[in-house]
Amino acid sequence: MIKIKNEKTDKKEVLKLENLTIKFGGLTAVDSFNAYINKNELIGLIGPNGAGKTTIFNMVTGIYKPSFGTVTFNDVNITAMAPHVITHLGIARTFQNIRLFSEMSVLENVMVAEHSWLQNYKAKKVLHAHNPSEFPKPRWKSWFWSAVLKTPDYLKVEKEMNFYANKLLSVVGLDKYADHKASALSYGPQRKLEIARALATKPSLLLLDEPAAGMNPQETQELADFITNVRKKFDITILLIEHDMKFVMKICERIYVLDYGKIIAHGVPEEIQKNKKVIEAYLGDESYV
Amino acid sequence: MKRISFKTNFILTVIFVIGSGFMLLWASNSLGDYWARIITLMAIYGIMATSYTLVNGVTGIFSLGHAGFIAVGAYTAALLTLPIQQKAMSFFITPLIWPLNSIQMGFLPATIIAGCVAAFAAFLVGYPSLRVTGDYFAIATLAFAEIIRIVIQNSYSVTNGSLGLKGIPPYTTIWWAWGWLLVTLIVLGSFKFSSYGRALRAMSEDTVAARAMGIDVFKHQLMSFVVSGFFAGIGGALYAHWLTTIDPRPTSLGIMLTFFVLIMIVVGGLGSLSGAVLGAVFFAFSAQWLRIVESPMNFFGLTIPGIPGMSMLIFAVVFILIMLFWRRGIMGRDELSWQYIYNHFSKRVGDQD
Ligand SMILES: Nc1ncnc2c1ncn2[C@@H]1O[C@H](COP(=O)(O)OP(=O)(O)O)[C@@H](O)[C@H]1O
Ligand SMILES: [Mg+2]
Repeated sequence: MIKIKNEKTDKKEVLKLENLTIKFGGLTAVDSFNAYINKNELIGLIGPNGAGKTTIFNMVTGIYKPSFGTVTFNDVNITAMAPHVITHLGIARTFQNIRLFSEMSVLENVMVAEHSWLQNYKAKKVLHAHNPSEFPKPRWKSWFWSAVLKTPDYLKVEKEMNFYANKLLSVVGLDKYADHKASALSYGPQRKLEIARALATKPSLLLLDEPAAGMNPQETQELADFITNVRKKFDITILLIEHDMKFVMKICERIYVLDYGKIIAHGVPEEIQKNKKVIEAYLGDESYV
Repeated sequence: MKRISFKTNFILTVIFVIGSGFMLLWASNSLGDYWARIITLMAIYGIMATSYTLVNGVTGIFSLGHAGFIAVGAYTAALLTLPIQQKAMSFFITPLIWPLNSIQMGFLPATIIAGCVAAFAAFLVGYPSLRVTGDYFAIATLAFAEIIRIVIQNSYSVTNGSLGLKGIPPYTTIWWAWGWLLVTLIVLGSFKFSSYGRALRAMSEDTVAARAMGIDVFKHQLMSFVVSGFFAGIGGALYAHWLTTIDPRPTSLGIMLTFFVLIMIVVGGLGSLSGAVLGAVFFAFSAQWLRIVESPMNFFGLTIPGIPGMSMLIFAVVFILIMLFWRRGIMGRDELSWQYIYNHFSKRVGDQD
């Protein structure tokens, strides 16, 4: 296995996965997965179908509870926390099979994610417990009555939600479809909407599950630029799963390669490209090369 | 597509509400007692249906326990408004416990307390039931509603058991019923069209995605369930003072009532508050009309005896047909708003040229 030195040791570690393992019945879908991601990095996670990539995302976001191992996010142990708390702490994601709220409008899809702005008490409590000096003790506020009675402070937040959602939509170029049903969008725009929706939770780490799946080369090219842009504009760290090797090689700074739930390689794109094990794992699968 | 401004919307709505008020005034004065009662019932059903569609439609969790909360509200309010002498007379098997035996209060506080008690009951039922999803949730709520009914049936010292409560003051007028319906619609509408409502609608489509977007699904489902329970209790309070006699038979405040309200919200369109009101109006109306089929008829000299339960059979068939061929109901998930009317009207006009 190629070991690369972590040259930028001064850089802040955003996500650390240690010995992450999950078993489904007899199957060990992910086996002792170790990884780290530094602030503002764009990291790729690749591997053949069924390797366990999505399962790793599901463990990081709290959808699955790992059988073993820990997930550390900004020095806070978030292993097996509830998904919504993890989102409030600053991890947002998209799904491999697009999961938009298809009956709702494009704008509403983004605004749903902004509901988290009113709901982050538990996450703030976690942060306060972790570091009381940096994170003040949160005060509990029920927004329910404010929302029903439409109090001025609620209306102010609602206005901010609307404003920020529209801003996000114009960033991803979907502002003209704001009133359309999400299901009315075609495939590419749906992917972008899912990213905008994730960004609306104001995350510091964005997980993208095969964002280029099902796209043609030109769309893929556009998406690569788009993701690079998003990273700059939102000052965000990104971990992405991808099928398309070229795509990953092009935009990712480091890559983890997974096969049968185990890391088989880790390094910068040039190293990964030459790695024997990686070539072997991908051999015969033309779609990846 | 033109957007109708907030101001226009507001003015039109105020005019509509005032106009409806005059309509009701006319109806209560000139249609006679019988129709006044039916029109009152429409609003009571409207409250039951809108609160039910909040859970089954907007939030997308299928509860079958609505009648349980209606029953809790009905009994609570009735026990609070019943005259003390009436209580002493009715509870002849086991006397009513203190302090209920010495309380008598006005209709408004009794109704509000009924709502609160029903909301609390909804919390107690929802908390364990919402741990399971889908069909299991439906069965759990159905079971809890039946437990509520059986507890009522056997708590002689509180509810008078199977004897029921008689002589409840007939407080529920057109004004109380439609006034409460207006309050219900304002509160539930404001709830639905808030950040919380968006969260509920998102959850109804995809709980996994909703969780990933930071929504505490359990908490929001419970919240919706409790709010629904509150208004079910209000509906129950109004219903009790409309009926003036209540008892715990399954056909009065049991599964049958849940089934009726289910028909209303399915006809109206699951998830639409205004649809639920339309469904309730439709139901109250056709239930009266269908009484014809239960009374003896004379067909070309042939006398058909009245078949009790025939209208239920017809409702069941209608329900099945709607589920098969007209899932959308009247409104689908939309709301009857000025914008909605405008859009439909302009589409019609647009079609002609
Ligand atoms: N909930 C589950 N129950 C059982 N097996 C699962 C579950 N989720 C994933 N798996 C299995 O884990 C393995 C990895 O799946 P996945 O993470 O989706 O792969 P991919 O790398 O293609 O995203 C597969 O064999 C899959 O069948
Ligand atoms: Mg996958």
